Amino acid sequence: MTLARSTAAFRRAQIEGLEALIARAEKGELVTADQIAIGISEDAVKTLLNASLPREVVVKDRLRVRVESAEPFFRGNRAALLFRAKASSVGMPTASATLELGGGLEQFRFEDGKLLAKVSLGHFTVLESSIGDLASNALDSLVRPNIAMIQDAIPAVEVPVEIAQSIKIGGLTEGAVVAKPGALPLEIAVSQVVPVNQRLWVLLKAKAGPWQTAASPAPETVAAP
Amino acid sequence: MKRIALVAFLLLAIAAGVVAYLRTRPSPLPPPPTEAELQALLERRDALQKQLTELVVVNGEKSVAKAPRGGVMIGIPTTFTRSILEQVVTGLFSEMTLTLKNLKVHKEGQVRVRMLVSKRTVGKFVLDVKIHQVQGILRPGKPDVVFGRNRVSVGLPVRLATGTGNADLRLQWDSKGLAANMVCGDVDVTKAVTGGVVPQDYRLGGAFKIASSGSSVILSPDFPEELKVRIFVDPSEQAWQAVDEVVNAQRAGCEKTLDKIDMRKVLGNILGRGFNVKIPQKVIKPVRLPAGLKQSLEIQGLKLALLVKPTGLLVAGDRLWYGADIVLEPAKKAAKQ
Repeated sequence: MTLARSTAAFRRAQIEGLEALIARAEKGELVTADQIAIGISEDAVKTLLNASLPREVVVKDRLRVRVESAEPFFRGNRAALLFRAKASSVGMPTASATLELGGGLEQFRFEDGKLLAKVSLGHFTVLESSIGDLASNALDSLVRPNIAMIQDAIPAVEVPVEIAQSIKIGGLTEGAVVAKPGALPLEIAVSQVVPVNQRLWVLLKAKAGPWQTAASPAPETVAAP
Repeated sequence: MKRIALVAFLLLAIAAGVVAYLRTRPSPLPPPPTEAELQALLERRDALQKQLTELVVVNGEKSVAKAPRGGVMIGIPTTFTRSILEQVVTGLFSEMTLTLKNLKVHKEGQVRVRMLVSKRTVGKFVLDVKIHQVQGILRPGKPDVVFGRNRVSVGLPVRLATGTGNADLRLQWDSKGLAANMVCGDVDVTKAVTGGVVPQDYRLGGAFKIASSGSSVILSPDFPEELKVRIFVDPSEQAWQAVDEVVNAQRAGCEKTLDKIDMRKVLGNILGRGFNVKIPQKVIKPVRLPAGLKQSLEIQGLKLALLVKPTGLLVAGDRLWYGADIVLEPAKKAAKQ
């Protein structure tokens, strides 16, 4: 019953997100042309997310939470993530429960040439427990106020694209000809993120130039950056 | 009586408590959605996704449906690629200098004048121009960039815009015959002169081939011919005055004889042939487009190698699309920085 309710809630949220996107597109506000488009599939993000797992965190010296797997869902303008975690008592390791932690990807940004997104966790559900309903309530009271701690244990997701910050071109000195080397600086920033059709689209505003001539000719071998 | 009041008060308090509880208790959960309701939501979502895709195409994303699929897809606008190519090509040719050094031009001849009934040689001249240096500066115009199937053709107007040079001009005159020797004798004069270059327009034509090179898209130059520039030296006013001075500095009779050499014309002819300079094709370098795939990732100290398997490249009117699948290779401890 819980699963059906949460599935319905998630689908309604996707429908709302899509309706909002469609409204923007109809008003001409969803401008994507002239922007670099990077589309990464759910499967690719799943591979990357799971490569950083498992992650373990101890909550209040009482509960060990081990985040074991992740599943992304890029649909309906929602970059949702579902994590499976195992929670066990520090003092009594046989008492354990399986948790489902829900959240999403947010704060897409460029940092040191990396395209990163933060994992945020918003809610969780106890899927099964070896310790009964009463203990589940105790688990809830431990996990809920400390969900940020679990969130911080999951590293930021790096979209594996390389975005150059300039294009450097070598010069040439040969015979009578001297061509100075130079660089074309690039200004690239995240413009919008559109998770639809099982793919996360990151759109980047990009501007090239102006060309900057370097002072002296670089060695001939310097070609592409 | 007191007891009744107490009981009544307690009953009232209990009733108030019950009312408060009923008002504040969470409302019961609605019944869970049925399979049919869930299916309807799914269908509504899919219909909206389809509608959005159509709108995105209408708004300018013409080629997204044909783009090569892959774990990662990168679409670089042709407008951006055009801007990069235009600036790289013009940047390379802006302020490009062509410098020629130690050029020597030589002309010799004789002067014959009519004397009574026949023409006689009155002397021989040797005119040497030693150009220490002449330097021309190229200025590019706005290139034409046209996207084709897996290549971009580029036409670049280039102007040999300005230039400077310096040279020594040496005139040697050897009078022939007694009369000529008496009038002129032998002359050997050297003058330092300056000049510029005659502006000329050229056009560089070629293309860049578009290909994926594993993790990124490379534009490789394909310019079949080197650009041949011909530098024509343009003597300055000072240079012409110096030429005139060589003649004017002689005695009147000699001046008249040397005038017959017509040094301006001789000089104009020999410099008018110009000097060839070839700009090699390799001046134009490959350009790697700025968005590509990483070949490794570092996650909390673990270095993960990414195996990039390209799935295709499409050059469309609006974007260059590049698709690739990525496979993670076993983790290694990242080297300490």
